[in-house]
Amino acid sequence: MRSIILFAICFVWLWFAGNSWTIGETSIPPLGKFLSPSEGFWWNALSVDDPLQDELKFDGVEGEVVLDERKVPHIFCSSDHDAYFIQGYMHAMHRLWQMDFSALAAEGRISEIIGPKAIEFDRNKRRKGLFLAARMNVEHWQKDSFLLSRIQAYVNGVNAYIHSISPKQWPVEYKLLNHRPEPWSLYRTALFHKSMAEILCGRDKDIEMTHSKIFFKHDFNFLFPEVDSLTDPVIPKGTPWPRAEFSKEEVLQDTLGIGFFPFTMETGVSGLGSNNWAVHPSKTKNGHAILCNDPHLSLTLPSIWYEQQINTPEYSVYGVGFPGVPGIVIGFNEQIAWGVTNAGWDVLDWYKIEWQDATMKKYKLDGQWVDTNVRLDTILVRGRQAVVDSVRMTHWGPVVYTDTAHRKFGLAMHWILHDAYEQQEFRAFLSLNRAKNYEDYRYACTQFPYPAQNFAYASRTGDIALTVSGNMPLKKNQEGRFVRDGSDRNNGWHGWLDPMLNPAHKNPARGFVSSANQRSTDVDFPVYFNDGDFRSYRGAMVNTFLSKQKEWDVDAMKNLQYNSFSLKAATCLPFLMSSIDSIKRATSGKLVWETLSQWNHHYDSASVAPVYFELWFDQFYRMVWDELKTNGSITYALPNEWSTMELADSIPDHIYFDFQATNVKETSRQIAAMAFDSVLQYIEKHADLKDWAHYKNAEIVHLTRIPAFGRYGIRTSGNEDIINAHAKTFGPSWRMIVELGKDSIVAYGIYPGGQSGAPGSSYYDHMVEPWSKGQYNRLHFWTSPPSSVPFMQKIFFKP
Amino acid sequence: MSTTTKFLSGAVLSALLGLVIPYWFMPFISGLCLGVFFNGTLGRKLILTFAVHWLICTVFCWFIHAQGGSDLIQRIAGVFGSQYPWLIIFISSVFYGFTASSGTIIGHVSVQWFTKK
Repeated sequence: MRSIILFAICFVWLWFAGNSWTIGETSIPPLGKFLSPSEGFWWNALSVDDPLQDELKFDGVEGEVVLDERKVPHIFCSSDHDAYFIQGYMHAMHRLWQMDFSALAAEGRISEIIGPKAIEFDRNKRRKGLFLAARMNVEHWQKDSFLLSRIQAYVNGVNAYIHSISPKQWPVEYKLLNHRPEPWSLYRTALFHKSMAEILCGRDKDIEMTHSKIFFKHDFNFLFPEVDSLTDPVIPKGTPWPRAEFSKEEVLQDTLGIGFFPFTMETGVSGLGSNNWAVHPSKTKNGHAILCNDPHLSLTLPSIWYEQQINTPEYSVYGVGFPGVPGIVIGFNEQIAWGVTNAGWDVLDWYKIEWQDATMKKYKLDGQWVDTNVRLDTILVRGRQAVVDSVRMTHWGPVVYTDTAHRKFGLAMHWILHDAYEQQEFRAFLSLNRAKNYEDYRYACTQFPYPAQNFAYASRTGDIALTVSGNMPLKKNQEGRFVRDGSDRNNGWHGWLDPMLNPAHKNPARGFVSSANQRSTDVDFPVYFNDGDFRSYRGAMVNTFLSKQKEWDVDAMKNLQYNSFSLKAATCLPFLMSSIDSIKRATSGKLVWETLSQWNHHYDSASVAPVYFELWFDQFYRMVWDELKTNGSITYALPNEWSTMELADSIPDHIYFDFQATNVKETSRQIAAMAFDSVLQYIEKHADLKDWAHYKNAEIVHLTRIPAFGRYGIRTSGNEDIINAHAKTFGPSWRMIVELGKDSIVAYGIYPGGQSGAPGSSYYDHMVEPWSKGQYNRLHFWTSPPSSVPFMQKIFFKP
Repeated sequence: MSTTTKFLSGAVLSALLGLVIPYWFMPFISGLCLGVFFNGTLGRKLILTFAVHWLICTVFCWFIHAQGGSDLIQRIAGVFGSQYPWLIIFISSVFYGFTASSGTIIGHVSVQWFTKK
């Protein structure tokens, strides 16, 4: 009996140690394997920063990689094929798990790894059809030998690395989440691009805007102007446009008949954006063009960016790209530099689908009941039964949301990703990588399909330019701003603008080009387009600073990228403060009043004034728009801060300033005073409000959201709507400054993370600290392998 | 050489093998061999197997910690809700020791069954 019990205990132990477990929503890896000193995480700890083999052998591949002191690979090869193979190999070596996980996320397969809590995430990705868009990309590449050979070489490089490692060498996240690397493919590279497109043009506010349009009726146009008085467009006002391409007549608004939608939609981070600018040699100290770029994205570890240099006899290019994707996305070569920001054009529209009956098999289109095509998606779920989702495809695209209670209507999306194009984003980037002049740059811009981006350009010859690149759908006035009636085929897009007619300018008289996600043009552009949720503060500030100063140099550019002045605070605070009576200024509100009176409107990490302002303004804004409190699952778009303040200042007794919770009718100034009182009460209760950095409590999370792999409590200046747009979870994901001299190129850059994706590596997050202080790395632009300068290691690829 | 010394030598060899052969259940197999091929009481075998495997694993893990792996170890400790790296070293060594001991028990009991018959 004793023996049987002992046997049983041993087998239970082995069973426990050898299997993964799910407790609640938490998955536990097979602990025996994970904690094993020979194959578990201990192996990763032992070898985390080991030097790599000096010589690697692969058929038909020859080249040299020099890893510099920050582990940035500088690749030297005699052909594109070899260069992209090695780039793929290096990406996998440093970021394999990140690449794999990102591709799985884009495909809607995260539930396979982390279990039931990701089902909704996966369902959403699949309904949006990112994988269909990726397949279309691959089909196109297979007909284009230039692209195919290069991307295939990259894929082969990734797979060469995957095959070269044993399970014990897999990144620690595989062990923790108990999955294995999947072979890389063209499809997975395409998926990564689709997920970026989703971040940049995959969310909008059509439903919220529809609700607000119904709620505000005639006040809507006043409260939601498409161009407000603050907007200083990317392409300046007064720029002459080519001939009109399409009628801008206003369409008959069917918004009122569309109704409300009780869906909670996925929304993006408010205020997300980017800056880029290029200054003409006539405005710089050294007489060289300078280009700057800082794309603002959600910050994660490992970082979304990977720094690298590629040298072939044809070109030499340095910059950052995405692990999983060949080429350089933002950077410079021996002749030019370029940087990108999101243009924010609305290329995702929603259509209300009317079902014939609860079976949802037929929907109305042009007066007839038309069959839907049903696609069955099987979502595999770790530890649970698979979930089968039926996705209904319509003339417009997939039905993403359905009125599940009554099954009377649904919402179908028409998204630019589902349309077919001749242009290919990789052709655009590979062309930029080897561009030698303005004409090459312009060609590259016309090859970029979506999401529309502002490509800033500067060259050693002193030219500067900016092109808003991407396919612009032709829409009538106001089309696509609200949910449209999906029973009429005429409500769709009406074609595409010729990419050569996209908004662009070169060497403008003001001596600089810039973009900060504000509107691309003034309303006089011949084609109607509308933006996403971008606001105008940063663009206005960038243009003001660039206009004022005459002699720019690299140090001044560093200061500008790190500038934390808030135009919002500078314009809102005088109104708010004028609403406080003198008694309160001298008594209970004295501390806050004096702090704000002396504030220079900079969101400095050590200052407490931005905390007071944020609390005050947020409370004021909430109280003003209390009419629009979310009603169940009905959500509304709110007028932006600028429009709110214009209204508060110009019509202080407007009906919207009546606070619903009281019986008297308030004015905007009374609301400001009431908000001030609330702030004083809040401050009294929260004695731990130290300074802005403490209040902001910035973080950079790991892709898995495992706290131990992220960075928390990062002390930085800046906030959304500020040039240094670092808010709690998003911010400048890469800061780059390139001075293009006639004889040399001087470049600086930094991103919050490190080249290695391995938690525990010295190169995992070592740049977070200097990045948070506004410091930069000098970028080594080596056009031949260095011999005398310090570098970390040389790796030779031999056939 | 006494039985205990022989067993200790075998256990040390088993523990070292488990560190270099990259299968987590390797200590179980070598523990099984210890249970089958060495004489002695189950209690003594069990204590020695566990102690030797636990000790060697602990030393190995401390070595990794000292050799530059401390950052990852600290983070993994964090995953387990602790800020102390020694905790993850302790847990790993206990797992290592238990896995080897399981093998020893099964080996020893199996031999007893077969010899009884």
